Amino acid sequence: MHQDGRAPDDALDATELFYRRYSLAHFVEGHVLPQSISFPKPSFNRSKYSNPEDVLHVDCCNGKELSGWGVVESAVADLCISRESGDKQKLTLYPKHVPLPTCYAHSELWCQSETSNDVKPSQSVKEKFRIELSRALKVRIPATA
Amino acid sequence: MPAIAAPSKLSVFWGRRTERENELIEPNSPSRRTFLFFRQLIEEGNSTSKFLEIAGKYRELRTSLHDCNFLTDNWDSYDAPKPERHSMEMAEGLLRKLFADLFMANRVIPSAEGGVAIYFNNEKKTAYVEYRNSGSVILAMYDDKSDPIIIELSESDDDQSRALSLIKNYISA
Repeated sequence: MHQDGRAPDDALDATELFYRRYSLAHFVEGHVLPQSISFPKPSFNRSKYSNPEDVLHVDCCNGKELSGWGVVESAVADLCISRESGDKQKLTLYPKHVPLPTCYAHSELWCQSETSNDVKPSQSVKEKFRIELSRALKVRIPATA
Repeated sequence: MPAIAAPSKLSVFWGRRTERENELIEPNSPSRRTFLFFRQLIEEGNSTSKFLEIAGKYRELRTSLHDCNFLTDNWDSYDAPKPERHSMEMAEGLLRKLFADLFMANRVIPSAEGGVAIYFNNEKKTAYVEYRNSGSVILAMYDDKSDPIIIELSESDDDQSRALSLIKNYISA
């Protein structure tokens, strides 16, 4: 699970799964709520280097023990959402492998435009991304707390 | 001992019922006054029951909001800041407005963005107002399929009333 000196693996397949943890407080009628997701660069674990339950391991939880939390998942392709910004630029989320010392699988969703690979979306676009991501994520390990 | 006769006996007493459940037809007989008396009692009972339901939900949501006080930074393990007092006070203000309007939300939720959201949903539609620590206020309204409606608001009293009105119209439509 640890990075152990390994470099990021930029080869991300569209069918690869991204995992993210959630609590029942952020779960209504089969979906996580947009309030469980923050920008910029929301975090996930990529399935190539992680099992779903690894997302709940203290080494991937920023040092926290999260008893009863669950895991949601989505194929990378379904997370690469596009929206138009106020100035008519097409903004698209894309996956990036960003290993952490204790969690090699750690990855993020970055936002790109036609001219930049690291764009900060406006409040409105960000909110649409949060809602679309919450729609795309499905329960893999149900939360109990 | 029951104070009111069973429905089958009431039907006989009041002569007839409509085909629709629980709807009573006013009789043309000396029992009209009795009918009106009971109808008023039933209406008052329904109204009181609705009020108590909203009051109970209001208390529950205020407790949820109060619980946000105990969150610490990194409460979600994804580096979420704890909700600041200011955003919680704004949320409490909206809850008070909702209660005064006898319209209640479903949940109060801490936001991973830092802040608190008041969340509404019915079978098909969802709406929320999110008060961020940064001072920005986001109103979102959406269903399962359509593009979400996002409105950036201020913390003013007018915008709080506007949010309430927009959500009521959206959720109730």
